[in-house]
Amino acid sequence: MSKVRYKEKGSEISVRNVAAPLAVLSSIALLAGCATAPATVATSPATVAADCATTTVSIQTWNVGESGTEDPMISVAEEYMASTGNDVEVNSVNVEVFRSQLPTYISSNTPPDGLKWLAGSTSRGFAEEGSLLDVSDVWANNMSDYPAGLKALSTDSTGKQYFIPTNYYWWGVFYRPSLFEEKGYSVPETWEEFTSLAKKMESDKLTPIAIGTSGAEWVATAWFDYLNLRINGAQFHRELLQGKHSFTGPEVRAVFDKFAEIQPYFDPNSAGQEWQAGLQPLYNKAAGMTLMGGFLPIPEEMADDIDFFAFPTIDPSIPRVEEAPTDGFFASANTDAPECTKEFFAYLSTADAQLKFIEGRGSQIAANPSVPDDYYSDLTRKGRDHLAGAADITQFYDRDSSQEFATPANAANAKFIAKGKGSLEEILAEWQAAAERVIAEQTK
Amino acid sequence: MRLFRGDRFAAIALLGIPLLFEVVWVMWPAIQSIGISTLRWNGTSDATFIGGENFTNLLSDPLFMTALGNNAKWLLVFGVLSVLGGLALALVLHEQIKGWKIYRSAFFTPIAVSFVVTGFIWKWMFAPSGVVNSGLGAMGLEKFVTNWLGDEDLVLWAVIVAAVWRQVGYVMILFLAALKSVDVSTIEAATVDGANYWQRLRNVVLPALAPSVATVVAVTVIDSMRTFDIVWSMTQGGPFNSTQVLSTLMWREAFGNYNLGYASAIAVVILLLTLVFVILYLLRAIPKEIK
Repeated sequence: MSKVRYKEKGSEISVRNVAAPLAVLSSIALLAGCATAPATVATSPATVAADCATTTVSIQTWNVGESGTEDPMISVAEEYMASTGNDVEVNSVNVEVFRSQLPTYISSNTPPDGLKWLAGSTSRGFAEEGSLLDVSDVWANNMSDYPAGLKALSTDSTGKQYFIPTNYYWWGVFYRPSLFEEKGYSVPETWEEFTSLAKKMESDKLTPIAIGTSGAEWVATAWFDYLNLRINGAQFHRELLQGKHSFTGPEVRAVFDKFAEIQPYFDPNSAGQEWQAGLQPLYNKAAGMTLMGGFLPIPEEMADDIDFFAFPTIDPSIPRVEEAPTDGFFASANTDAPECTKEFFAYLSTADAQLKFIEGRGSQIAANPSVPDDYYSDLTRKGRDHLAGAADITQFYDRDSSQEFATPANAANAKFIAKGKGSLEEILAEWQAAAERVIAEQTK
Repeated sequence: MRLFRGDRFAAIALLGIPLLFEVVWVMWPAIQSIGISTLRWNGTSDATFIGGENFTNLLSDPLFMTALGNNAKWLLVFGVLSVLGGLALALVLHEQIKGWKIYRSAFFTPIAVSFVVTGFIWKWMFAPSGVVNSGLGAMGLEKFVTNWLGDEDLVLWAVIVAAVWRQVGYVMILFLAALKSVDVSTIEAATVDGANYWQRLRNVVLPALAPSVATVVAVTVIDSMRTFDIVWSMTQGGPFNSTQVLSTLMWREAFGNYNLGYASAIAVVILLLTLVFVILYLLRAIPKEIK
């Protein structure tokens, strides 16, 4: 097997998919390494005398290839080294390479000491199997002023913290205020207002909802997440994502009843264009609005002409829950420098360090609550308040469940947006069957 | 042929070193992945031996069946179109029609472009407002304007078109080289005997091309089984899994879902399917080379 594919991939490294071939190549080592020595769950590492000036803490981080931005981790590490005299080494790879290598990083006998990753179930899984370093003392000594929600997000089922959150962002329905002004639209707060706005946009010859899901079907899942949170609430949403309810049950059907009301208003090209291309009509004022994360790229000339509103209320008795995907750090339990890693993590929890993470990345909000208000742009400050006022916070479908639980969801939602009500039975049946397969495997 | 001492040393070095590389980086990982295909393993926790369970799970996995079916469609359509297309181009250009050098370069150029870049080019052309749709519109064929990569019934064929576009020049060059070696006197003799073009093609040229047909078919079949890059760069297996092939499914299971055992089982299936064709090819090719 290896010959036919892997060699070919290695020689065809190219623009965007540099991740795939590299990861495939390195996976040979990964696959080869394991059969002889199936990874063992790490036992707690020997405590070393913490002389962090002579111990190098290695940090493995990732980037999404944003052009023109240097990995903020580098300046954070430089600052830390300059002020403490301690030694930190930073390695950064493309996020897809990182994703594919993560199990290898964690289970290695000589792992990177600290790893940047996403909060939520994806990290919790590693913590629950004992693969991650306990960082409870960093929380106790340095992070007592952090919001309870972020602490809960970083805590495993035994009450220990394993995660140091550094920054997060928000989701909302983005639009161009100047377009709303031209057409006399007002920001909708309820579902009825939202659907009648979409209808009005359609009669004004606009595409009401901009969207592109090609190669990014998760964009469609944002709609499911919000509809489910607004109709069934956070508790049910979390349970559903842990496989405790059926995707063919009445609650999910209720979600798709509402989904069907707006499905005709989505860009009909959704499945054939990438998410960035899907946003172009919004920028051009050919489309009215879109549900997107704060990472939505804002062209310079419209910096003051992009705003967002909260996903509308559907059932007034359900409190407003928002998605706030959070990034941060954890360490492998196998690290041979646990004390020095935690010392560096303590620095990562400071406002000083986190300012560097969010610098130049407009949509990012520092996890440390003491970062001053005036640091943020108006839009980001609005995003922060939008989250602060939410009754509860979720991470996003994949981060709240698992990658393998999310892929069938992404396909199902993208398909529904493209094909509508007529395909609903087929979509739900496929989704439920796929979910059952994943649950069956996970519970073995 | 007798081997001298020096020859023997050279032979051992020339064969042995590549063999060593092959064993370490190809055969050993391949064997390892057969081992992993019997495990339930996420890459970090303890691996559990589950025997053939990954393989029985494959059989009930609708996505695996979709991928297998797509590989079969790919094999047939991509194989037939690129072999016949390449052969036709080679036959035409071999006649040295006016401007044949330009045509030859034009058809060969896509080979210089990797499958990944090919995918990006065609993704751009098939975009909702891309060249294909605007071209159709300009020709008054608006009714054929569609969402090529967003329609689950069309998208696989759109990807195959892109792949054939690249492969056909490669096949053409292989056939052109083979055509050069066809003995001109046999063709002239056939002409003197009164055979027309089609008769000469059928009874003289094609039989002389038979050995290279076997090579071309084998190369194309192997390319079909391992196809990954162009699918990944155009659709990532979407929309809604409609262009999922075995290799993209394997990638997703291994590096998206961390199901390394299950992904290895898919890899083993690809290996076995490819081996069947490689062995058939070798059975044909080796006896001829010995002669």
